[in-house]
Amino acid sequence: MTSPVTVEFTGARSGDGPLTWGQRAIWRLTEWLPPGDPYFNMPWVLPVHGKPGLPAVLAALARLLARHDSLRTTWIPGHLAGDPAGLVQRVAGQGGLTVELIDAAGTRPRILAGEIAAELAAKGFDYAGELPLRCAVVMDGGRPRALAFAFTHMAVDGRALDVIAGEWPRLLSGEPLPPAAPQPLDLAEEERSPAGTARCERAMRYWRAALERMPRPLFATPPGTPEEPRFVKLGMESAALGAAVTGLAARWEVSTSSVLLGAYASLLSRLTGRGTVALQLIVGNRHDPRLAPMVATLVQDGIFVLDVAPGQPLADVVRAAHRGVLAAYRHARYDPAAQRALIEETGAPPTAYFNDVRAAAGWPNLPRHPAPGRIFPVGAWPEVDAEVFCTVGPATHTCRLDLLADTALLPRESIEATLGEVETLLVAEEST
Amino acid sequence: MRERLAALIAEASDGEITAAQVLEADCSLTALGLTSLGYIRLIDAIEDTFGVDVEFDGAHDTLDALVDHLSRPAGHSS
Repeated sequence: MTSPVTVEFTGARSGDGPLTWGQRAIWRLTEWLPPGDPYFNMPWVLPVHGKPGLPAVLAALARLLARHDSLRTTWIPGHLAGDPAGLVQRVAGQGGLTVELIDAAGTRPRILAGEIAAELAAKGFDYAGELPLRCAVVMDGGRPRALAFAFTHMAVDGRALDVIAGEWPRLLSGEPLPPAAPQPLDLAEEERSPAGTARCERAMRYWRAALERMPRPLFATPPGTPEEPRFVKLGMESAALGAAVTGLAARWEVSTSSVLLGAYASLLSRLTGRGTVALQLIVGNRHDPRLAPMVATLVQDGIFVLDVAPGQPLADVVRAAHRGVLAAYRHARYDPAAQRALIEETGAPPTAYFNDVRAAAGWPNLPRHPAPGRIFPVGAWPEVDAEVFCTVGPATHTCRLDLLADTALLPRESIEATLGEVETLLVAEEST
Repeated sequence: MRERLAALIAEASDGEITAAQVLEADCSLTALGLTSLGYIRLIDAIEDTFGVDVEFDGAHDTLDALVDHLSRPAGHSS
């Protein structure tokens, strides 16, 4: 390792303001963790292509920080007039980012960058006293080959990292980029405007109706004896499932996500013994074209409720799920304080989650002859804040589906059977 | 009202559909090429423009249905 360098940056503005709804949502999650816990840190690697020199890469980093207020933001305890949150977002006009230079010394730069990113992310951020990102440059043969980052989730979400990756070639070449607007301070102001308040109220009307009609608890039957550790996650990789879902999505004119969600909801309805299924969704909130290019954290929880009748054709369940998921997406931008107040009144929703993390629709790299799935253990934990959690993974060559459950509610063999059934149900449906 | 809605639909489609195509169409907005995300943008824009709540019950997928929904007093929120 050589001595670190400092990237000096100057942004177009500085200032204090209230937090955005997205920042409040993440802050609320971090409050549940012990101080300094790194759980919501995001390690990230950006490969450096085209053999630029170190000065060009450091200049691109300076432009990145100059361009996006979120990357120059700290969160300071304090109160602003009319805002009880107790926290202020402070955008710095200028400053310096310390960047370590690390020689790959014969190892593969991108692999090493991944390890360094994990190290950078292993320590919690000092939200009030530290820039919201840490960075190191992996050098090989005197040239930068990869950047290792750790971000706090207060500053970015997964889609924001896609935005940075998309802008990177032009940040590096110095080509002009369209103006970055709005910034989080603008967004916080919009959210507090009459239009923002109306949006939040509409979302809360939708949430209230959903919360009032969802059954509780999640399972109609009492819990059984869990295994140790209690929470078990199994994964499945099935190209055959990916191919079947792709075919059904085209046939039914819905997204691949809705096909999986509909099938999963249908199975969950049977497992829970409930005619109404409620799921919390992780919503990116990027469908508004103004927000899509923002480097900021916009992700919030959505709520999805679906009635499933016994024997209802899968096509009907999936179409209803598709409409339901659009409604859930549309009502996932709100003030988390308003949502918390509502939940105190109506009772909390069951902790059943569905998260499709794919950036692109479908699976563009499925093999020509897709093979049926294999199921494998992913992990086990003594405590997880979810009764069931279904995730569609980022793989593009196969459909990766993970199912985590509280084994008091869904024993390991039922988790395995459910994953298998998603596949058999949809593969059979596609071949009819 | 029809023209305003057609303009909002064109805007929500991200340039895929023109207002004229919407006004001439005798098929659903989905068949015209409005994507799910476009549909979300459209309903957002309608709510912001007209100050009403519109829910996804599958019944608002044509220009006529939207005009009808917005013309009914019951469609307006308090």
